[in-house]
Amino acid sequence: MWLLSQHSRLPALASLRVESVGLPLLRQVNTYLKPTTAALQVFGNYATRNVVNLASSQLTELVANGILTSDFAFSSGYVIVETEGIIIGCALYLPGRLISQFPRHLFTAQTWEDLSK
Amino acid sequence: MTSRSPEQCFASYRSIILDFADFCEKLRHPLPVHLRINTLKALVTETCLRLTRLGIQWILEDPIDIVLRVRNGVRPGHLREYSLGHLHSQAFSSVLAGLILDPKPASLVLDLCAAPGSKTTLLAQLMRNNGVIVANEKNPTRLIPLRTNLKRLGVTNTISVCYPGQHFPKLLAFDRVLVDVPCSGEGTLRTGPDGTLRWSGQSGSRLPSLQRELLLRAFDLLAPNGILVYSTCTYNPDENESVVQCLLDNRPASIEPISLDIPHAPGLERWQEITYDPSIRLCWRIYPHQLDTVGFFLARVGRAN
Ligand SMILES: C[S@@+](CC[C@H](N)C(=O)[O-])C[C@H]1O[C@@H](n2cnc3c(N)ncnc32)[C@H](O)[C@@H]1O
Repeated sequence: MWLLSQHSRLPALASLRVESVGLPLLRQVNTYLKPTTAALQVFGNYATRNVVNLASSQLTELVANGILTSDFAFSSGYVIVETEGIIIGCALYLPGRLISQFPRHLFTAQTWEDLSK
Repeated sequence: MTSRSPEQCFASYRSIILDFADFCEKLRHPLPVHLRINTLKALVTETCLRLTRLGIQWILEDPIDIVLRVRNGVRPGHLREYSLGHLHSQAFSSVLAGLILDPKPASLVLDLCAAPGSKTTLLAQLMRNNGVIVANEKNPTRLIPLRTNLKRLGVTNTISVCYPGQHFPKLLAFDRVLVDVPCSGEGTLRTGPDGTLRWSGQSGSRLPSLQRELLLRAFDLLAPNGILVYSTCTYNPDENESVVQCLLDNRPASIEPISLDIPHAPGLERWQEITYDPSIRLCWRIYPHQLDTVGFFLARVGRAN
């Protein structure tokens, strides 16, 4: 599922051979809809619930291991991961653990080497 | 690939570049690293603070408050802020092309040669993700970095398409058209450690004829009160003023003044045996000894009344 800004002349564009449109918003995972990290980084600031605020060290662990063992006061489901007021992306919360859903490109060692600074 | 000194490489431009010695001297220094703050995802002040906390020295490029010049040695792609899409590595002169196009939030915009999307994503930022941008790129493999950048920078108002720009369908008229053509890239050249420029440039190729075709088609897609920007990162008049002259000769186009307060040189009056239309002086030539960035040519074009 994709998101595109509204525009009165959009119908006229429909005759173009389109390769991609807007920003991917949700993906279907089994029977669930998973919000994309790309969309959460833009719109996650507007969320009022299901936001998990991680300390830098917790985020480092989640990035390094793909999983963070910890209890949060959520029911199971997709949550928005935030640290220091910055939206990082999407994770899946299951009782006692948070599982990263970040895309691979966010994970390069160099990119995150300064995470703890 | 040729390896020559700046003086040898650009000897034919000695008569058109004021302070030619300073120009050549500047090419002996590395290109500065410029970062654009992506205000679709980040705030300028917070981003600057974070960079300071990381020990990165920066200055805002006056009067453009979204472009930072950072100390050499910073590898932008390694910054967390980069992968989160708060920052984009983009030459100052490349940012100017988008600012000069001046899209409005409701505009319908065509970016005719869009990949890898540095200017498309800037246009989306200036439009605050409103309106619609059609980002066209002829080369299908270059659509991949274009899409990656659109996603990383959180752009929601863009459709990507894949046409040879010179044959882009004339289905509708656009309020703004950017024609950032493929060019010989002379403006990106700086000397390596051996003091020579390594240049695999394509001057003398069929670039000017492709550039003319792209600009003519772009103009045909422009709405009556629309604005078009033609840009290259080369000093070569055959790819710059001569292409704009071809537009003036073949279409009811007018060259518009550019109202930014940035150091630049005017478009040329003549080159070799060619005398250009006087309005071409309103175009901008960006030279690195006047503005330390990639050399550029910018023309702001409207429809003549
Ligand atoms: C100077 S680059 C554009 C840079 C881009 N505007 C940016 O700011 O990131 C020129 C682009 O035009 C593409 N191109 C080459 N021939 C083209 C054509 N006939 N129609 C459309 N695009 C073309 C090239 O593949 C290249 O990606």
